[in-house]
Amino acid sequence: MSLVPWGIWASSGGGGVPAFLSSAPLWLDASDSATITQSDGSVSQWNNKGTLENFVQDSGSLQPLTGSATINGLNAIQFSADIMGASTASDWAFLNNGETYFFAIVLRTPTDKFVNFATQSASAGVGAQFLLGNYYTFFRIFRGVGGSYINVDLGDGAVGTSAIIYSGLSDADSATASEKAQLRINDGSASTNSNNVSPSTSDPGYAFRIGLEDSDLLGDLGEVIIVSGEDATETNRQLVENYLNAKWSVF
Amino acid sequence: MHYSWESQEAFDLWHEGVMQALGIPHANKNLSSGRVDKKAQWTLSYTILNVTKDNILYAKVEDEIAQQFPDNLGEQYDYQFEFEI
Repeated sequence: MSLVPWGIWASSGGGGVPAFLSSAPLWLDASDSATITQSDGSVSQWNNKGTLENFVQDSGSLQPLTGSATINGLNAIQFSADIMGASTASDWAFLNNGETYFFAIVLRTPTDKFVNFATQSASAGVGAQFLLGNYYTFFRIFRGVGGSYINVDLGDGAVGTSAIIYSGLSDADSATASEKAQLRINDGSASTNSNNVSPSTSDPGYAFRIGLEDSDLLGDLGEVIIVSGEDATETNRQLVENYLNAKWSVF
Repeated sequence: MHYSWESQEAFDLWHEGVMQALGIPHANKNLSSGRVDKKAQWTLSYTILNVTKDNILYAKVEDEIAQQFPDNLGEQYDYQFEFEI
């Protein structure tokens, strides 16, 4: 499959680039080399094709690699206990303040490891976290220490040589308590929220980052997308999943 | 691989040597154009010293760097990330 500049595919149900992605808060695309800044394959900056911040890492030993892994022949960013983060916590507060959003991630995770996307650690309270991999597949939003507003657990995720599309919808406003979040793997059946407490309105303690400080995360990332607000519908989540699957040939 | 040091000063002694050898800080190149992008994130350090709850000072060091710069390198540290469910 040849690389096609983003933004020129028509939005459709057939796997083209949905038009709303350019106004999404987060759209990281490892196949778009123009968005990657590197030195000898170590990535110091991964530009966000969405509206919020770029993701950066200024410490060489914590920079992931480009040019060393592919998914469906497309470049993937290879994480090996590395971390990339955005710097402004308030930008990402929408992930845990009750706003509706969905995420979709193309990821290949080797055995016994996982990849963590978070605005906060579990022990520190307010924040959001997507923990994807072998040990756990979680989508949750912390309300405070020891509690969570949304907590979806798919149990052990799939691992190995194949990439997976993880996607989840947080519908905080219009859904019932039991439907406030869904988490899917490769368009499988959805597991739904198991908690029902008031959402936090506080800022997360950390800005959004791929990998937490001190975490040991391994995995090849193809694309990371978060869509919020009016565009964050189940229909659009499916459109994004179709686009990602057509591009990365996941399932 | 992670390594631990007895003090910040001991870490700095090793890290400053690595920084100098690797030419850090340095700008980085756009993967598409191949040109240096001075506005993009520079590489400012080789690694970052972290502290555990037990006050152990440790940092991630890649294997090839550990082999190239063994002088003043700390002890291997078996860091285990513990995720809190």
